[in-house]
Amino acid sequence: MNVVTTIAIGLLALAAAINAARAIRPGTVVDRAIAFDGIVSAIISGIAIGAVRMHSGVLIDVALVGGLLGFLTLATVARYVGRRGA
Amino acid sequence: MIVLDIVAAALMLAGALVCVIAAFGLHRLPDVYARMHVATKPATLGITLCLAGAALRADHASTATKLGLAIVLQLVTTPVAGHLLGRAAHAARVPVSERTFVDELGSPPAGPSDDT
Repeated sequence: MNVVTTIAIGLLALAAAINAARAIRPGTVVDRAIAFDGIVSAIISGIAIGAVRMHSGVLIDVALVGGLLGFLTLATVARYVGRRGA
Repeated sequence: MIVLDIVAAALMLAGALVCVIAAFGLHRLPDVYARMHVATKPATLGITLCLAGAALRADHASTATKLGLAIVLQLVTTPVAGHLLGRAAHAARVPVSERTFVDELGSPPAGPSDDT
């Protein structure tokens, strides 16, 4: 199981890196917000898999709160974009 | 237990793969709306697969319950966030790709002129 979690966390880190490259590349605010959401989802998945790897349920609360924070961030950015333009 | 381990491993690897593929899609798809379409997939399917795999391997029932709650919250909030962002982008006149043919929210800012 350790091998599987290592591979999965490596894949998620790769996904987060590609998303970060998308956020750095020139684009609209919406593009950057989407890339940020991709990073957040990779982090949440990585936290859950890391909890399996460490045999501890302490970090699960962090994943829960992280998901809600990602939603709040996207909603705030959407409001900002709708008012000011992208 | 071995069957459960294999299923959990497959779920976690599949979720991580979905996240990677969607990250590549962010770079390859033509406009903001298509990229939003591909970006909500890791946020729903990828997280659901990863968290379900982790819940199968959880040591205590409380951990599995919290993971289930996280899955439900993601499934509820992610489509709402994508919808909000898409409406806001359209209201801010973010241009659509030339390959877009139907825009049900109104006249496309940079779309094709011939209407079907």
